[in-house]
Amino acid sequence: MHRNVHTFLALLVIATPIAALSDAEARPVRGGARTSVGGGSYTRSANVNRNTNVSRNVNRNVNVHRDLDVDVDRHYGGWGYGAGYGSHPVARAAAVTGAAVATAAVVGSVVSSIPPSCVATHVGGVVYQRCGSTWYQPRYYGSSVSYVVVNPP
Amino acid sequence: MTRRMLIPLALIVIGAPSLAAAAEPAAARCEKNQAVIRRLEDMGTFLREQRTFSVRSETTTDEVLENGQKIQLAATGELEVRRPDRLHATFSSDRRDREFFYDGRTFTVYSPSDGYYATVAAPSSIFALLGQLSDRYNIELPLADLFRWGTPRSGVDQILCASFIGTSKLDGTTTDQFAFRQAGLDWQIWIEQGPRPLPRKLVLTTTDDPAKPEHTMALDWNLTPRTDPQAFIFRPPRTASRIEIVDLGG
Repeated sequence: MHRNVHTFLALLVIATPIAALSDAEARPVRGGARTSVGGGSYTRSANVNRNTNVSRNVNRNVNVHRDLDVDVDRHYGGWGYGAGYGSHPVARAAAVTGAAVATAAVVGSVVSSIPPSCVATHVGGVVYQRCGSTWYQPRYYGSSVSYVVVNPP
Repeated sequence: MTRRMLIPLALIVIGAPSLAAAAEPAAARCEKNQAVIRRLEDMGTFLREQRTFSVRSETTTDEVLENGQKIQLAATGELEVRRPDRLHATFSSDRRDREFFYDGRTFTVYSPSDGYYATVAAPSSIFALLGQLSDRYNIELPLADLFRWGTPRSGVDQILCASFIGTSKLDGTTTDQFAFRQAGLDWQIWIEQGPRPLPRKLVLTTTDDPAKPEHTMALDWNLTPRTDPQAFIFRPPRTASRIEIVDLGG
């Protein structure tokens, strides 16, 4: 019984951000045009692992989790990044969800966007985004910025 | 009896070509015109000879939604180059803006809208930099093809079909239009006629997605730019924050 209540609350909390999704997250993108003729010709072949399901976040909810490519905004830039569309080694290496979950964020998980209410905070020369009790550290994944959940510094 | 057997045979013979055509006529009807390949290589050679140049780009890129709908997004960019080891690129669209700086020793990616930048040690040439960015940092610089043409990485060996389409005027400049096919990609290029065989326009059609999303690029060249040497050096604004970039260790 106790457990059921928790599950219910967790679903509520997770479901809330859906309404707050920005345009970018609201449109699930499956792919896009290649932007270079020779792209990916260095070591990797192009278009491998397209739309691989990478996220196994235990807190995920089907409605929230979208298997978005980690660098969501590459889809909207119109320039070629990475070795072929959807071939994203970072996505293979990290669990990535489309939008930040307000609570219950697991340290080490990566999101492509955070709520606008987050506050940039510098601690020891490092910039964090503080969102309530959750701290994120921005990082470049390719030429896109994503946010990894960290312990409070 | 003989006559009755001939009729089914005739049907089979007639039926065969249409079946083949429905399957995949591409390979059979493909020409690889070596004169066209040479024009592409001449363009590459000319590009490599340019020590300094700047080029402005206007691009559109289709993205494909999960329901198969195509959405076209536009961007503009400017690239300043001084070979072998200086590069500055600025690109912006409705959704994002990025600046890239390469001063011969370090490479920086900067996002003016959120103030984040990452700086890493860089190799001693633009060409080596492209490899490092692709292999270790998963960054494909905009217009990277411009640096591949005329090198062993040009991808000419990937081309299955190459044909001359005709001449075309772009902004008052006479160009030749060529079409190419390679695995998963059909592409077209418009190369300036005359002493400056520059790529003026490109259309890339991704053919391994049933929605066939396209990327188009119009290029405006300046081969005698007055480039400020300081333009290649990143000086972080006071409000900017340095962050890490994930190193894949390629």
